[in-house]
Amino acid sequence: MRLEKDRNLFIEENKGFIYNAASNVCKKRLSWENDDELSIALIAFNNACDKYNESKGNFLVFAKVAIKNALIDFFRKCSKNAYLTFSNEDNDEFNKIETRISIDEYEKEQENKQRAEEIAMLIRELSKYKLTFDDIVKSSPSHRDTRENVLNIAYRCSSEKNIVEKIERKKILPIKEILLLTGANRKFIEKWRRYLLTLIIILSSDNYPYIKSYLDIKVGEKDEK
Amino acid sequence: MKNKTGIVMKIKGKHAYVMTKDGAFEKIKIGHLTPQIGEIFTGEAVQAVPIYKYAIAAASFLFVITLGTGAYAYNKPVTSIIYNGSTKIKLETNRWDRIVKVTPLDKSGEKLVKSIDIKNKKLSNGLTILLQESEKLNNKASVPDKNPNNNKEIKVSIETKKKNNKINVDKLKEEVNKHNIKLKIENEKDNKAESKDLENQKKPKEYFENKINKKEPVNKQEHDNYIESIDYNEKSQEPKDKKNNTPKKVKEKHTKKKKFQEDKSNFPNNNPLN
Repeated sequence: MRLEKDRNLFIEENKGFIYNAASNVCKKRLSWENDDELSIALIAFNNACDKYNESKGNFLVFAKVAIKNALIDFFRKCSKNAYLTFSNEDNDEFNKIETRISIDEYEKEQENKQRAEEIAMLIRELSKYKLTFDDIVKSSPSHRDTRENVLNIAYRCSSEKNIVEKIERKKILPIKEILLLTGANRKFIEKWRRYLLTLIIILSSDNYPYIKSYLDIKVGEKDEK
Repeated sequence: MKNKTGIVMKIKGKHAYVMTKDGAFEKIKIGHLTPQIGEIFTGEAVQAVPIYKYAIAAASFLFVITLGTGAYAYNKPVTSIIYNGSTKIKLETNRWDRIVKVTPLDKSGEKLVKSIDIKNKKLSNGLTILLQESEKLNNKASVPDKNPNNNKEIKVSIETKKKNNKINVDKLKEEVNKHNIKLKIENEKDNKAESKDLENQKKPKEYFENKINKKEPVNKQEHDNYIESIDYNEKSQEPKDKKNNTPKKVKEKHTKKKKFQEDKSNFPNNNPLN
């Protein structure tokens, strides 16, 4: 009972954080009364509390990733046109608040360590696919639109178990399946296959919450573009 | 170059690979402070030089080279012509017979050169213009003689490094005819060649033998001339030192001929039927 009380109190205290995380992903202002997004975010935050342990590093970063993923899934389910975008604006109060809360020197170091571990893991994973950062840098699209298109394809693929399994087993992109799933252009996929593979590896695994949280993924409508 | 901020994924020498917030992977330069992996770091992005830039560089290099050699070849004088009429002017032309340099050799020449522009013109056109203009100047300046045309003569001496020693002066000749002026063309190589030809025609034997002794190549015409001269000499007078100087082939030919004649003369005697 006490734990539950504490949990409620904790959530209540962090409502601001949840609101900011959700509105940042949705790119709009939300209201507690009307928007489903906030309740999804609340549930995600609660789940994050359950799943969290100290090995996962800073809780707020972990919670932010959890909220983001939950919201993106939610958007995908409820609308076919949901379109993910990268954001590079050094935006909003949210980040400032977050940094103010989370980053004192010690925590910064811890975060860096966590990230370094993740990166080491990622490099090991990538080397199984014979991918080096040199290759990835060379075949990473410079245009934002292209990157976002690849991101969307990667996100859809990473939520498709078949494809992820095939990739892990064969260490190659199953291009046919991806084409069937996304209806993308074959040449496009082949051109950006390295970048796509890297994104799928990062997005499909739960091992890289920090890397994922650093990527500023947002949800928008494709028609808006 | 844009500054990029991202998580440092890998460090290699003076460069770091970072992943930026918007999902791009970039290679950036590291300054004095070496970042740690996992750190958020800002640096100048390094962009690989695309292949087409190398192509452009190579193409422009080639372009400069060809342009340079072209300009050099165009401006290098190959032939120099000294125009010696009422004025004295030296023209230098390139291998395409275009005038590239005009130097006056006397005072009236200087005036004339200032008044006309014959640079980059074909030599024949240039010479024609030169002639016309110098005639005009002449007519203005001097009181016309009673019979001026008789005394006028233009010397054009040509010296060229060209192998094919053909310089077209037909136009000049036409123009000269219009003005009733004598034209004398001196061409050094031509003169030499002509003199040699003459020698070949007049004294074919000596000329030929000389050439053989010097081991110079001999053409068919010279050879035929030589044979003719031998035949002619044989009929008229027996050469005394024939054995020493006649070349082998010719010698053989003649010995065979002689032998045959001897055989022919001896034939009735040796005939077994008789």
